Formats: sequence, structure tokens, C-alpha cells
Amino acid sequence: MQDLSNIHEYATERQNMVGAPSPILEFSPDDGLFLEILNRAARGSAQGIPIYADLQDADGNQLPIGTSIRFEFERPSDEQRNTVSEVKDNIQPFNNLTIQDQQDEEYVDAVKVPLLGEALRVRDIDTFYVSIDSSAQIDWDNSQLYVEGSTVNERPMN
Amino acid sequence: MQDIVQQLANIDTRRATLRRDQFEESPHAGGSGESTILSFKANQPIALRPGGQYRLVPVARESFTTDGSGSTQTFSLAHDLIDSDVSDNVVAYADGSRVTVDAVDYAGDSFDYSDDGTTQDLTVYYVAATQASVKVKKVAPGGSNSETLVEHDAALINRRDPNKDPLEFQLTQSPLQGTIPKDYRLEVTIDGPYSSGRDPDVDPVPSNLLVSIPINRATVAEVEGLSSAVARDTSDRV
Repeated sequence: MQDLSNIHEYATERQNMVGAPSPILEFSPDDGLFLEILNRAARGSAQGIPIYADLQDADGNQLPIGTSIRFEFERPSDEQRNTVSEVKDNIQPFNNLTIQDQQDEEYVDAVKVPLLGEALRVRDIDTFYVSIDSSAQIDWDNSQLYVEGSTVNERPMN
Repeated sequence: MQDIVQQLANIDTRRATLRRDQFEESPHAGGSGESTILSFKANQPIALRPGGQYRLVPVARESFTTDGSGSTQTFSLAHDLIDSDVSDNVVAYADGSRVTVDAVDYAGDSFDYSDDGTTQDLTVYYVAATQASVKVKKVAPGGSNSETLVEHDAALINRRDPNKDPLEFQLTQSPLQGTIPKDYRLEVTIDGPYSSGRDPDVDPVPSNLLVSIPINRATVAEVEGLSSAVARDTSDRV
């Protein structure tokens, strides 16, 4: 179990393209390892992967409430990124709640992004993305994003 | 009905969430009775997800004209503006571009804005605690057969914390109640004293009017006999 965040060693910070679904974070494990990301967290009752985030642009303003967020996945054999979660159509919980409150048992269901399947297996050759569709651009100097650790396991490849 | 329910159970579905930009938008003029502000036509059979957590934030729309002085002006809103947990409380546009207001006075139901020295048309979408009836309906093609699936009072759902106490679908009257066959529409209507919704040709995007409705979407194009089964089922209740 390990928390994934924008400063994690497997993470690369990216800036989204304004007006199109595009990655803000990508994760790819070290050679010989894979990440297993489950659709069920140890906290709350709803299905999905909890994300805790504070998303801001270069001026220190929160990204617009109508920003949508999703997970994407790309294997080397894929032409493009594939959406592997439901699209969360607004970031109201992230803008309205502090990162502290987002982790509260009472609120955690509101920050979950449900996978379409039961789990994701991210091999060292695959890439797992957190993507947004926003009318503003993220600035990582002002922003933070975490993926709840109880959903993430790292294992050696056989 | 048993046959069709059995048939539906064998159909593969995908989870999805309907959001505002997938609906056709239309305006509601305050006080004019019930009108549809959002309408989604199903291209494939869909079902509202049982127990699914949904969001619906009806906001009020009001327009003003600034005096062109470039100094701070106070604009009084006609309805009860609140500091809510449901959405951005005030979203303002001047001549169609998003602007930030200088200050918001929740107790006085007003906000301050300084224009750029020219007369501007202001459009404001805000969260109000003024009572209005909001319904989610399924409507058959032609509109003759419809059923209200959920009815809320805007003043109640806007004064709730959706992150802690989300709204959930409880559609238990029949196994087909939450099912929306191909070519049926899912509509959101509002009946209240304030204007809401928008005319997409004229009004800017109401970005704080949040809609997210969790559904299961069938992977097949059509299910034979579903429309008539759903029509019979709804007419048993309304």
C-alpha cells in the first residue's frame, strides 16, 4: 500500500491542454514492478478510488467548478489513451473542501472516481494518467493531488 | 413485464454519468409555470443507477446593465442568495466573458462589480434558497406519457452538503421505473419565481448549474418491446 501523489517517484507532472481532456499526472512504475490499483478503498462505502486534490492555476485561482476529472490508461500497443473510469463532471468537492476534510470519513465518498472495471494493473511499460478537461490550465507550483494509498499495491512482475 | 425484466438482466451495461453539456438546454422564465431546462434524448436504453448518488443544483439567472462609470456598483438580486455548499454561489459574465465580482453580500442579497468604463451587460447565475419545484422526469416520444421520477424543492437541496449527504436514487416502485428506453427523454423541469436554465444562443454557460446523473447504459442499440413495456408500467402509476 502506498499513496500516489504528484511528487511520487513514479509520477510526472503535466499541464493540461485547455478545452480538451488531457493528462495532468502520469504514473509508470519502475522496471520489474507493477502497480495494482483497486476500485475499492478501505474508507467510505461507495466504490471508486479516492483522490484528494487542491487544483489551482498559475494565478492561484481554483480551477473552474465545471472541470471534469477521469483516469486514463495506455498500453504500448494502444494508439491513444483510453478512459478507464467514470468521468467526474465537476470538481465541486475539491474546491469546496480542504484536503483535510476530503479525507474525513463523512466526505470521502464524494471524492471517489469509480473505475469502469474492478482493478487496474499498471505494468512498467504501461502508463496510468489522471486527466482533466478544463477551461483553465493547472499550475503544479500551486496544486497538489493524492491517490488514496489503500487502493494501491506494488508487486514484482513474475 | 417479467419477460422484459429478465431480458434486461442479461444485457451488458456500462457505467456512465450524464452531465450538463450532454443535455439540450432551454430557459425558464421566472413565474411562468413549469418549464423544461434540460433535456437528454436516449440513443440507447439507459437506466438510472439504483442507489446512485446524483447532483442537481438549480441556479437562478438574472441580468443587469452596468452604468459604464468604471467605479464599484452594487447590484441587488431579487431572490435569496445563500453561501452554499452545493456549488459556486455566484458566477458572473460581462458581455459574455467570465468576470469576478468584487464582493458578495449574502445577508443583503447583493454583489459589487466594477465595469471596465463602458456599459456592460451582466448575466449572473447564483444559488438561491428561494422555493422552487424541481423535477426529474422521463418522457415518452411525443410527450404524451411521462413520469416524475424525483421531485425536490430547490430551497431544500441547495441548503444541503452534497459531499456529506448526497442525493440518492430510490426508484423502487417497479423494476422498470428507472429504465429509459431508446428515444425517451430524461428531462429536468423547474417551476419557481426566478429565471433559470438558459438559451444557449444568447446566454453564457451556467457553470455553477451542476448536473451529474449516474446511469447504466446498455451496450445494445435497442431492446424489442421495451418502450411499450415501460409505457404500460408508467401508466400504472401516473
